[in-house]
Amino acid sequence: MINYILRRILIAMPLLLVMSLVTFLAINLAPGNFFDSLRLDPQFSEETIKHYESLYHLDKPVIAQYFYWLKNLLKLDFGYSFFYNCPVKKIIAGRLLNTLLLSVVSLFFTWIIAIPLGIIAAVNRNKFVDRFFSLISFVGLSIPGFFFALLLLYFASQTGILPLGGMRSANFDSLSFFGRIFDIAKHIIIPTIVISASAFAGLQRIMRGSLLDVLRQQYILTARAKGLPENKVIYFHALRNAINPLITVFGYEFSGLLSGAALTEIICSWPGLGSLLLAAVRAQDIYLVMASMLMGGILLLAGNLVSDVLLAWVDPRIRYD
Amino acid sequence: MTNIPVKKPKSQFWLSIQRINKNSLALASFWIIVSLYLGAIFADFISPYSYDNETRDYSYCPPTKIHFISPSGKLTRPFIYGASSSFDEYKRRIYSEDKNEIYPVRFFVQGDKYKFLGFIPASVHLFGVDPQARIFLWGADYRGRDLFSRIMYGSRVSLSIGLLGVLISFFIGLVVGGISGYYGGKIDNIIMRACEMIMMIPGFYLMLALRAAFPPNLNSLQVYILIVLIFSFIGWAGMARVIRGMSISLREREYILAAKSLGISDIKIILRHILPHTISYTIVAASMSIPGYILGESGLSLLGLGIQDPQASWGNLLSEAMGIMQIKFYPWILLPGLFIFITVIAFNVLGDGLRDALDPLLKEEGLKDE
Amino acid sequence: MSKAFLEIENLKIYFSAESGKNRVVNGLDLKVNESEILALVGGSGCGKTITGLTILRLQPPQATIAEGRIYWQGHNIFELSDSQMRAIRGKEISMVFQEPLTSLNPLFTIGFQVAEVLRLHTDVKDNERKRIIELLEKVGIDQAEKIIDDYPHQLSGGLRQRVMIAQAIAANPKLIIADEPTSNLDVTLQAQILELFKELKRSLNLSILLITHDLAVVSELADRVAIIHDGKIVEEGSPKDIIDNPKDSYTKKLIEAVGA
Repeated sequence: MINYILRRILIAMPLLLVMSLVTFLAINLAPGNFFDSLRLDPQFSEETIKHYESLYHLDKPVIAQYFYWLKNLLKLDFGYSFFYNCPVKKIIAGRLLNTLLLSVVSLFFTWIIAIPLGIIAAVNRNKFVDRFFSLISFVGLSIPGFFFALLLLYFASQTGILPLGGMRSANFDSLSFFGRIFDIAKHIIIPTIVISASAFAGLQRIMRGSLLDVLRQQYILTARAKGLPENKVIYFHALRNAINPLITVFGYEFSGLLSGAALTEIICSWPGLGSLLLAAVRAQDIYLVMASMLMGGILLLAGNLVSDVLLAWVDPRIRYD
Repeated sequence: MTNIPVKKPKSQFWLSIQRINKNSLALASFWIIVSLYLGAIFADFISPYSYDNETRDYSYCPPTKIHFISPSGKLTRPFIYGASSSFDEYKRRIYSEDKNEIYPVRFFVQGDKYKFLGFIPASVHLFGVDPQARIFLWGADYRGRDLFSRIMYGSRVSLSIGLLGVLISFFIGLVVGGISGYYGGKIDNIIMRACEMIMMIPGFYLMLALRAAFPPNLNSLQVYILIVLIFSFIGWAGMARVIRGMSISLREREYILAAKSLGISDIKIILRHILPHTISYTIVAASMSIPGYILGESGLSLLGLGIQDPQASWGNLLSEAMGIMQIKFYPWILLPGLFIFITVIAFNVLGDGLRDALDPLLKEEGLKDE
Repeated sequence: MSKAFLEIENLKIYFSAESGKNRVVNGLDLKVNESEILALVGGSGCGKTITGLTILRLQPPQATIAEGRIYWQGHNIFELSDSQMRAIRGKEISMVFQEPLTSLNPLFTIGFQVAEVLRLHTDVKDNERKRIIELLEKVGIDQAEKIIDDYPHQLSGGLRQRVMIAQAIAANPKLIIADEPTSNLDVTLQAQILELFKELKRSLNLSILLITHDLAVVSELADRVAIIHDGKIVEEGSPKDIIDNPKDSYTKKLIEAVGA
């Protein structure tokens, strides 16, 4: 099992490298850099700017810059953020954690809702319940995330129940431990609903399809022939097998989740990687952009790894490969 | 001996059309989409104002009420009252109807000049009022621009990007996927790995990063082309994989081999057997991926990285709504979002319906899940 | 004459299709006695598998039972409640299927799957593992201790089929319905499994309804043979009678096909 994990991590490395190279090249395609805006500022002399440029190797060819970046990466030095005027390391950790929190919570709720609904739909195939859930899934899949977020924020502003974005209230520091948890929970509700809405729709349909598929299998007939009660057949034998494809999908879902999370973060002012990336892009803050992309890539690959390991744990056919 | 007349079997194509007709939801979606595109083409005519016609005096004016009953209580042709505004204690404008000024709503009026289809000069609009007043069917934005008009103009960008993006992705995907499937071996492997890597990167991050490659303040035309290119770059990978899978499976199909063994020429095989299968799948896939492009452009414009003011796209119209204060008092700003929603649902329903109608072909490919 | 355990009277089953009703079983009469191996022989699509499934009321939902009765020890199974039916399945009547790989749940160990039957229908508690090993050995698996914690995909086809049989005899049933139990195995394995059936019938004193298309298998094993064609029984008798003196034209065709 350990071998399996190590192997997967090794394979992930080249992928990250390629991703970072592509991003680096893409960013540097743009004419100019962050310092262009400084040039317009009379406070900064040309020499100062040139000095900074050579300090950060911005005067060297692009490929060389990339290797400098890689070299620093090995020292866990992510570079310097011109925009925030401090090392990237300081900013990124916190943001990463926030995005992770939002993603995990959203994932949790997505699964908690989608799995039971998918099961109910499969067991009651083509009846009213099934069609109704199908409709909801369809709407969930189709509604644009940002529109849904804006709608929810509108209703929040009208009713005043939930906070309008951000992660902490103004009085956060004065709250007790539980008060703080409750405060963050209040803030996480809207972004979680938005992200879960589309994710759950897809998952519900897959769960339904998978369970229907499994129920057609021979070993289900065997289970019934053994005299097992129907609910054991469905919720024990069938479900166990139906979950497997979902775990495979988990990896892909994670990518979509991160994507959706980014835009939602921005609209709900949730201080995560998404909003960071946006600010960095707007300011052409190279190292911040690189670090954000890298973090995003790592999160993604970690998600895939977790789902692969889960799958191996749950499906004996893969384990002994 | 009786002659049993042999009925010529209906072609699959007509059967598919019949099946779609029976699906009322899909049909409705189809017409909704057609209306939206017609609206985009005739935007200049349908809107009372040009997209950049602004009057600060009417900033955030709420939707104009159209009345059909005259002050004396009789049914009359539609008219509106003039608007008068005052400032409240928060320095916000409050609008009220000035019943002293009555402006009838006229049809086929002269208004802002435009060029129909880009080159025919015209100035007739479907409806409008006298120039002293303003008719804001769906309210006005911060600069006093008519939201209805801007939504109509905005549809041009949002709807066309979808089509263009899909077309380009498709061609690239078709070529790459076809080559990959045809040659197989190492070439196939490399291309597929590349596709997988592109597909794995979170779409939004990739989009932002690619956008970051270019200066934030390009003009709208440049941004438009850029967006189309970015999406094509993200989108072709998925298409290529599918086309490649299909070309491989089709190559080996028994009926292809059977046809070959009967001596039917390659071209006929391609035309009669291979193409119909690919077409049906590509139509469905196209319909289902257009929403992705529309959402992508809206997302970018929403963040200010897409279409810039004064040009309108549904996305950048929504960006005004990002300021929380605005939403609470001026909810009509959210309308462009509703349009995006309707368009996306319509394409999804249509795609779903198409898939069901072309069903037997797809079930064979094992591409449809029940 | 032994009592007729299982009696099928005038069974009619049809499938609904767009083109109309498809009569799969069309007036089938059959009796299975105690301690006998009855072979139900016919080509594909003749309705034999559906008949086997219907005895346990496991027929697919598309199959509609138009007419007929099936008596098990005097009770009409169509009049039994679901829980009564479940008490019969696996305990009084059990079933062995054709495809051992797809008939065993890939995610559970074979020990567990056999244990399920024991837990459901018997009350071994502390001796469970011992009992499972006994069962596995009884069906001819020597390495029972080793494979009890293995998964189906780790075993060969022959072993899997033996596990299926172990499941089937675990609760001491009186009748086993075996639906093409050897069709997917090679000839040597076939012979072994058939030997096993013979041995089990003798030592456990049970009846076996052997559903097959293979007349050769039948002559080895069966006490009686019933030929099914187009949803009806067209001929019945001992294997010797059937093979030496076939009366029905279909029977003759079957014999010719085998080249007995």
